[in-house]
Amino acid sequence: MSKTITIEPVSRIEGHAKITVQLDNNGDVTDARFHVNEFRGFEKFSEGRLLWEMPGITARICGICPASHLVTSAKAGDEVLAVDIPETADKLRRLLTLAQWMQSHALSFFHLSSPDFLLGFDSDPSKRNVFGLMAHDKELVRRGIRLRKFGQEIIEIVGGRKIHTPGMVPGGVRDPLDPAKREYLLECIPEARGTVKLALEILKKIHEEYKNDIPQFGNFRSLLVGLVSKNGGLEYYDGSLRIKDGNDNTIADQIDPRKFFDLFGEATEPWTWLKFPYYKPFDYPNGMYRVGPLARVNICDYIETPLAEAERRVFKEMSGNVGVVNNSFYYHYARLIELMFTVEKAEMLLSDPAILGKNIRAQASVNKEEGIGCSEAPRGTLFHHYWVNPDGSIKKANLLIATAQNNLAMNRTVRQIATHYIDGKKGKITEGILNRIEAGIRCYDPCLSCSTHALGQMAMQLEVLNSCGEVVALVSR
Amino acid sequence: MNRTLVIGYGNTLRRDDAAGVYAAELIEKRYPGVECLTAPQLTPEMAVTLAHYRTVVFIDASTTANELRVTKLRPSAACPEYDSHKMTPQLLLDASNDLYGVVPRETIQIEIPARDFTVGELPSPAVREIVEHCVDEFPRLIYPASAGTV
Repeated sequence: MSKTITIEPVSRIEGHAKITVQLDNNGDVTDARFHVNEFRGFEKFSEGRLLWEMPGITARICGICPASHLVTSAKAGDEVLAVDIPETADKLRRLLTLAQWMQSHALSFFHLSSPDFLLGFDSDPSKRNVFGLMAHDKELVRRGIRLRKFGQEIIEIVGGRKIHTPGMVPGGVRDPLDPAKREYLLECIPEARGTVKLALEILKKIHEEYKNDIPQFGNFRSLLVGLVSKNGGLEYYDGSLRIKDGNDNTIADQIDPRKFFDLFGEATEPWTWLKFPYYKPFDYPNGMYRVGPLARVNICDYIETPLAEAERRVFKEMSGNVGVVNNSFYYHYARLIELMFTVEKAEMLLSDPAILGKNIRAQASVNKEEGIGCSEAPRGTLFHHYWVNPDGSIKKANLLIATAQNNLAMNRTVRQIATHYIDGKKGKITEGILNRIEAGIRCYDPCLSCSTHALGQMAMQLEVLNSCGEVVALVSR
Repeated sequence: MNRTLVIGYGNTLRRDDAAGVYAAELIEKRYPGVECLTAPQLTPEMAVTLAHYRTVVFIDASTTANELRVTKLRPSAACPEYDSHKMTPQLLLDASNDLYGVVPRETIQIEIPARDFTVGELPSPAVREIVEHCVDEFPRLIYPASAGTV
């Protein structure tokens, strides 16, 4: 009799989801799927609101990456107003974007993923969290918490609030940077840099320790998509799109982000709310691609800051002759490389006298009917596309969120891990196996939506169902 | 370290859920010297902040309290169970204790009975009344033996 295993909700990710694993009569895996059971209606209820309100509204999409939505929305607004924003505003928006990466990447590594690595995939699930980690390595937790706090402080200082920050607007930013606060942030840089160095050292030991698990964690070739700077460097705020394949061939380069929707389509499946973006020339589902740290560090030619660039070179060496690191487990490594970049680049920006300028906003009324904003959110390339009435009210909005772009790859990762670890002949499906499947999803650090509150205890549950849908076994944690 | 911090938290777009935020803002205005921190939810990095205060008061809406509920918190001995979506004052206190070996001399949790979590920017009139009572009585709630000063 065939069976379905359900993991619901998937824990230590941002948002709510479940995983089902379909078994055949022999108990072997025939399919595995990552389902997102949230519905996000922001596009619809943005209609009729004013363009100038959109950064504030869309920052409410998420409690983890509000600054990315804020900046991307403001950029779409710039285009509708047809303005070039002042230099200081550009630098402040860049700093805010880096701070967003910093706090989100620190959260992903120190809070969400390192408990698996440092306590073990098979360790007691009730202690496999950041507090359980305290008993293992107090100093690491202390530093991880402080690093995330530093990212949040930059967001608060530049954007006005830590969560759902409001400080960016079409045409620029709301407030200039206070010189005293600039000095305070610069004083925090050395400790932040030291913390990322420590995390990199730990992760390299983890690579060695988990060398038998890693090859199963989303190890396949796919397209890789992200922004690069004019000279091919790692980009986070502006730039053009580059697409590479899993053999390091450049499929397309220097693409205006406004052309994205010509090149990429979105497929739907009846079993999930999350769409499946794909590269149109390769069709669905062969047009699978990955975005985010793994893609960005793979596709760029260099990183402009020294310590991050040195790590990028080590990262690339891991790919051997292929030239691309194709294993999704190494999202963690790429994320830490980017974390180092955020600290170094934030120091560069804060040291630039132009960041203290007072000219921070270009004023204009509606000059175009359409605008597309694009930036690199922590989890990948983010697009806001607005159609606007002459009075500035939103006629239509389309938001393409980074996590969705990894949907095909996340599903393939789940399938790969489940197929490897679940053995019908052995019968028993341990909690450690379930955790490995979840950890496969956590490589991508998906952010499904943090804008909704969860009431009550979030449980982790495994259900084994027979073909009639009856529960024949239940495991909870 | 003779400082008092009030942490009021909740969703300000879900009526009564904002009771803690609303109370913290009123307390800050009423009692000079009391510092106030408001947030949509508790986050682990607040453990760093706790260690700097003599008294920390958490104020939140509660679906289980039938009246204003005041609880003194002490660091617990056992390793707490952690859920990133459900950080509690007790977890933060334990984290502060574990990580820094320092906790506030007094940690108090005030729960405000709340029932209306529909979309809206202000708590319901009934809860606002309880909040105002909480603010009036704040010194006696956190220092029952005091003469009403913070």
